[in-house]
Amino acid sequence: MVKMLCLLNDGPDTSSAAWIEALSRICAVEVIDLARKEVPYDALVDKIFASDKVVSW
Amino acid sequence: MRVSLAVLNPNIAGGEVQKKIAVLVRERQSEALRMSLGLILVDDLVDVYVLDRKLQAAGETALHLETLKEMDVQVRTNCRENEGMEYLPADAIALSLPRYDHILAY
Amino acid sequence: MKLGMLINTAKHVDDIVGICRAALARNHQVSIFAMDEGARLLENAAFVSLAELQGVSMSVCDHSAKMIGANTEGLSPKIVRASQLNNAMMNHSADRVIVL
Repeated sequence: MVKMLCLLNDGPDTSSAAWIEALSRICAVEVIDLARKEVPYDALVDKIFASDKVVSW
Repeated sequence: MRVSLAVLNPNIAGGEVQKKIAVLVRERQSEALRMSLGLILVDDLVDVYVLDRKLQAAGETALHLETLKEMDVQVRTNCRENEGMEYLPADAIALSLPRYDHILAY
Repeated sequence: MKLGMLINTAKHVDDIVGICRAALARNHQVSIFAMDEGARLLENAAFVSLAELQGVSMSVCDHSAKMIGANTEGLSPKIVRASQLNNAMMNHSADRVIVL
Protein backbone atom coordinates (compact mmCIF):
# COMPACT_ATOMS: atom_id res chain seq x y z
CA MET A 1 0.00 0.00 0.00
CA VAL A 2 1.26 3.47 -0.88
CA LYS A 3 2.51 5.47 2.10
CA MET A 4 1.23 9.01 1.82
CA LEU A 5 2.26 11.83 4.11
CA CYS A 6 -0.25 14.66 4.35
CA LEU A 7 1.09 17.92 5.76
CA LEU A 8 -1.43 20.41 7.06
CA ASN A 9 0.21 23.79 6.61
CA ASP A 10 -2.52 25.78 8.29
CA GLY A 11 -4.21 23.20 10.46
CA PRO A 12 -7.21 21.09 9.50
CA ASP A 13 -10.04 22.38 7.34
CA THR A 14 -13.12 20.73 5.94
CA SER A 15 -11.79 20.58 2.38
CA SER A 16 -8.50 18.91 3.22
CA ALA A 17 -10.21 16.60 5.73
CA ALA A 18 -12.52 15.25 3.04
CA TRP A 19 -9.64 14.63 0.62
CA ILE A 20 -7.49 13.01 3.27
CA GLU A 21 -10.37 10.73 4.21
CA ALA A 22 -10.76 9.72 0.56
CA LEU A 23 -7.03 9.07 0.27
CA SER A 24 -7.08 7.03 3.47
CA ARG A 25 -9.28 4.45 1.75
CA ILE A 26 -6.54 3.64 -0.74
CA CYS A 27 -3.27 4.70 0.96
CA ALA A 28 -1.60 4.38 4.32
CA VAL A 29 -1.99 8.04 5.23
CA GLU A 30 -0.13 9.84 7.98
CA VAL A 31 -1.23 13.38 8.79
CA ILE A 32 1.07 15.95 10.37
CA ASP A 33 -0.31 19.31 11.40
CA LEU A 34 2.61 21.69 11.02
CA ALA A 35 0.78 24.38 12.96
CA ARG A 36 0.89 22.24 16.11
CA LYS A 37 4.68 21.86 15.97
CA GLU A 38 4.41 18.31 17.31
CA VAL A 39 7.05 16.73 15.10
CA PRO A 40 10.67 17.92 15.24
CA TYR A 41 11.97 19.02 11.86
CA ASP A 42 14.57 16.26 11.60
CA ALA A 43 11.89 13.63 12.20
CA LEU A 44 9.66 15.39 9.70
CA VAL A 45 12.35 15.25 7.03
CA ASP A 46 12.78 11.54 7.70
CA LYS A 47 9.05 11.02 7.28
CA ILE A 48 9.02 13.00 4.05
CA PHE A 49 11.61 10.72 2.49
CA ALA A 50 10.24 7.55 4.07
CA SER A 51 6.85 8.20 2.48
CA ASP A 52 6.08 7.30 -1.10
CA LYS A 53 4.11 10.50 -1.66
CA VAL A 54 3.77 13.82 0.11
CA VAL A 55 0.89 16.26 -0.15
CA SER A 56 0.91 19.68 1.49
CA TRP A 57 -2.64 20.90 2.13
CA MET B 1 14.70 -10.37 -17.29
CA ARG B 2 13.75 -7.13 -15.59
CA VAL B 3 11.69 -4.83 -17.77
CA SER B 4 11.66 -1.12 -16.99
CA LEU B 5 8.41 0.69 -17.61
CA ALA B 6 10.04 4.09 -17.11
CA VAL B 7 9.20 6.64 -19.77
CA LEU B 8 12.26 8.11 -21.40
CA ASN B 9 11.99 11.72 -22.37
CA PRO B 10 14.23 12.59 -25.33
CA ASN B 11 13.58 16.32 -24.88
CA ILE B 12 15.51 16.41 -21.64
CA ALA B 13 19.25 16.24 -21.83
CA GLY B 14 20.34 12.74 -21.01
CA GLY B 15 16.88 11.28 -21.62
CA GLU B 16 15.79 11.41 -18.02
CA VAL B 17 12.68 9.74 -16.67
CA GLN B 18 9.51 11.74 -17.11
CA LYS B 19 7.87 12.81 -13.87
CA LYS B 20 4.11 12.75 -13.35
CA ILE B 21 2.76 15.77 -11.54
CA ALA B 22 -0.77 16.49 -10.31
CA VAL B 23 -1.71 20.08 -9.60
CA LEU B 24 -4.69 20.44 -7.28
CA VAL B 25 -6.30 23.80 -7.90
CA ARG B 26 -8.10 25.21 -4.89
CA GLU B 27 -8.13 28.84 -3.78
CA ARG B 28 -5.62 30.77 -5.90
CA GLN B 29 -6.77 29.45 -9.21
CA SER B 30 -4.98 31.78 -11.61
CA GLU B 31 -1.56 31.23 -10.04
CA ALA B 32 -2.15 27.48 -9.83
CA LEU B 33 -2.88 27.36 -13.55
CA ARG B 34 0.08 29.62 -14.38
CA MET B 35 2.31 27.27 -12.42
CA SER B 36 0.81 24.27 -14.23
CA LEU B 37 1.75 25.82 -17.55
CA GLY B 38 5.30 26.30 -16.34
CA LEU B 39 5.57 22.72 -15.19
CA ILE B 40 5.16 21.37 -18.71
CA LEU B 41 8.29 23.22 -19.87
CA VAL B 42 10.54 20.24 -19.16
CA ASP B 43 8.05 17.85 -20.71
CA ASP B 44 6.94 16.21 -17.51
CA LEU B 45 3.40 14.90 -17.51
CA VAL B 46 1.15 17.43 -15.79
CA ASP B 47 -2.50 16.85 -14.97
CA VAL B 48 -4.66 19.54 -13.41
CA TYR B 49 -7.54 18.91 -11.01
CA VAL B 50 -9.87 21.77 -10.13
CA LEU B 51 -11.20 20.78 -6.73
CA ASP B 52 -14.44 21.52 -4.95
CA ARG B 53 -15.41 24.80 -6.61
CA LYS B 54 -16.15 26.51 -9.85
CA LEU B 55 -13.16 27.92 -11.68
CA GLN B 56 -13.45 31.68 -11.97
CA ALA B 57 -12.50 31.52 -15.60
CA ALA B 58 -12.10 35.19 -16.46
CA GLY B 59 -9.09 37.27 -17.41
CA GLU B 60 -5.73 35.61 -16.87
CA THR B 61 -7.30 32.48 -15.40
CA ALA B 62 -9.27 31.92 -18.60
CA LEU B 63 -6.18 32.51 -20.68
CA HIS B 64 -4.14 30.01 -18.64
CA LEU B 65 -6.92 27.43 -18.90
CA GLU B 66 -7.18 27.88 -22.64
CA THR B 67 -3.42 27.52 -23.05
CA LEU B 68 -3.35 24.38 -20.91
CA LYS B 69 -5.99 22.82 -23.13
CA GLU B 70 -4.07 23.82 -26.26
CA MET B 71 -1.04 22.08 -24.77
CA ASP B 72 -3.13 18.92 -24.26
CA VAL B 73 -2.94 19.11 -20.48
CA GLN B 74 -5.77 17.14 -18.92
CA VAL B 75 -7.94 19.38 -16.77
CA ARG B 76 -10.38 17.48 -14.58
CA THR B 77 -12.76 18.50 -11.83
CA ASN B 78 -15.06 17.12 -9.17
CA CYS B 79 -17.29 20.18 -9.52
CA ARG B 80 -20.05 19.73 -12.09
CA GLU B 81 -20.32 23.49 -12.55
CA ASN B 82 -17.02 23.50 -14.42
CA GLU B 83 -17.96 23.24 -18.05
CA GLY B 84 -15.43 22.04 -20.58
CA MET B 85 -13.56 19.88 -18.09
CA GLU B 86 -13.75 16.15 -17.56
CA TYR B 87 -15.87 15.49 -14.48
CA LEU B 88 -14.63 12.89 -12.03
CA PRO B 89 -16.11 12.18 -8.62
CA ALA B 90 -13.85 12.96 -5.68
CA ASP B 91 -13.21 9.28 -4.95
CA ALA B 92 -12.01 8.72 -8.51
CA ILE B 93 -9.66 11.68 -8.27
CA ALA B 94 -8.31 10.43 -4.93
CA LEU B 95 -7.79 7.01 -6.48
CA SER B 96 -5.68 8.52 -9.24
CA LEU B 97 -3.40 10.64 -7.05
CA PRO B 98 -1.00 7.94 -5.79
CA ARG B 99 0.23 7.36 -9.34
CA TYR B 100 1.81 10.82 -9.49
CA ASP B 101 5.37 11.54 -8.38
CA HIS B 102 4.41 14.94 -7.03
CA ILE B 103 1.03 16.21 -5.89
CA LEU B 104 0.99 19.98 -5.61
CA ALA B 105 -2.04 21.40 -3.85
CA TYR B 106 -2.29 25.10 -4.53
CA MET C 1 18.19 12.74 -1.92
CA LYS C 2 16.73 16.02 -3.06
CA LEU C 3 13.92 17.94 -1.38
CA GLY C 4 12.00 20.48 -3.41
CA MET C 5 10.30 23.28 -1.52
CA LEU C 6 7.68 25.24 -3.42
CA ILE C 7 7.00 28.39 -1.44
CA ASN C 8 3.78 30.10 -2.46
CA THR C 9 2.84 31.82 0.78
CA ALA C 10 4.74 34.00 3.20
CA LYS C 11 3.19 32.41 6.30
CA HIS C 12 5.52 29.55 7.11
CA VAL C 13 9.02 30.90 7.29
CA ASP C 14 9.84 29.05 10.54
CA ASP C 15 8.84 25.75 8.95
CA ILE C 16 10.78 26.54 5.77
CA VAL C 17 13.95 27.31 7.69
CA GLY C 18 13.52 24.38 10.07
CA ILE C 19 12.82 21.81 7.37
CA CYS C 20 15.57 23.12 5.10
CA ARG C 21 18.21 23.01 7.83
CA ALA C 22 17.06 19.58 9.00
CA ALA C 23 17.25 18.23 5.45
CA LEU C 24 20.78 19.57 5.05
CA ALA C 25 21.77 18.01 8.36
CA ARG C 26 20.59 14.68 6.91
CA ASN C 27 22.83 15.28 3.87
CA HIS C 28 19.95 15.95 1.54
CA GLN C 29 20.04 18.62 -1.13
CA VAL C 30 17.37 21.31 -1.02
CA SER C 31 15.94 23.25 -3.92
CA ILE C 32 13.66 26.19 -3.10
CA PHE C 33 11.40 27.98 -5.56
CA ALA C 34 9.37 30.95 -4.34
CA MET C 35 6.41 32.35 -6.24
CA ASP C 36 3.13 34.14 -5.70
CA GLU C 37 2.87 35.38 -2.09
CA GLY C 38 6.04 33.43 -1.34
CA ALA C 39 8.01 36.07 -3.21
CA ARG C 40 7.39 38.37 -0.23
CA LEU C 41 9.93 36.29 1.67
CA LEU C 42 12.68 37.90 -0.39
CA GLU C 43 12.41 40.60 2.28
CA ASN C 44 12.80 38.07 5.11
CA ALA C 45 16.37 37.74 6.35
CA ALA C 46 15.96 34.20 7.69
CA PHE C 47 14.54 33.02 4.38
CA VAL C 48 17.09 34.61 2.07
CA SER C 49 19.95 33.44 4.30
CA LEU C 50 19.11 29.85 3.31
CA ALA C 51 20.50 30.56 -0.15
CA GLU C 52 23.98 30.89 1.36
CA LEU C 53 23.96 27.37 2.78
CA GLN C 54 25.89 24.59 1.12
CA GLY C 55 23.45 22.22 -0.53
CA VAL C 56 20.71 24.80 -1.12
CA SER C 57 19.68 26.27 -4.44
CA MET C 58 17.11 29.05 -4.37
CA SER C 59 15.20 30.72 -7.15
CA VAL C 60 12.24 33.06 -7.25
CA CYS C 61 9.63 33.74 -9.88
CA ASP C 62 10.60 37.17 -11.13
CA HIS C 63 7.06 37.78 -12.37
CA SER C 64 5.69 37.20 -8.86
CA ALA C 65 8.34 39.40 -7.29
CA LYS C 66 7.40 42.23 -9.64
CA MET C 67 3.66 41.75 -9.16
CA ILE C 68 4.01 41.80 -5.41
CA GLY C 69 6.50 44.63 -5.45
CA ALA C 70 9.07 42.76 -3.41
CA ASN C 71 12.21 44.71 -2.70
CA THR C 72 14.97 42.81 -4.48
CA GLU C 73 17.66 45.44 -4.04
CA GLY C 74 20.88 43.95 -2.73
CA LEU C 75 19.59 40.44 -3.17
CA SER C 76 22.25 37.76 -2.94
CA PRO C 77 23.48 36.61 -6.35
CA LYS C 78 22.84 33.09 -5.09
CA ILE C 79 19.10 33.74 -5.37
CA VAL C 80 18.21 33.30 -9.01
CA ARG C 81 15.53 35.61 -10.31
CA ALA C 82 13.90 33.18 -12.60
CA SER C 83 10.81 31.97 -14.38
CA GLN C 84 8.43 29.07 -13.93
CA LEU C 85 10.97 26.98 -15.81
CA ASN C 86 12.98 26.82 -12.60
CA ASN C 87 9.99 25.39 -10.76
CA ALA C 88 9.61 22.81 -13.51
CA MET C 89 13.28 21.90 -13.18
CA MET C 90 12.96 21.64 -9.42
CA ASN C 91 9.96 19.34 -9.67
CA HIS C 92 11.72 17.31 -12.29
CA SER C 93 14.82 16.74 -10.24
CA ALA C 94 13.43 16.51 -6.71
CA ASP C 95 12.64 13.21 -5.03
CA ARG C 96 9.98 14.85 -2.87
CA VAL C 97 8.31 18.23 -3.12
CA ILE C 98 6.50 20.03 -0.34
CA VAL C 99 4.46 23.20 -0.68
CA LEU C 100 4.51 25.85 2.00
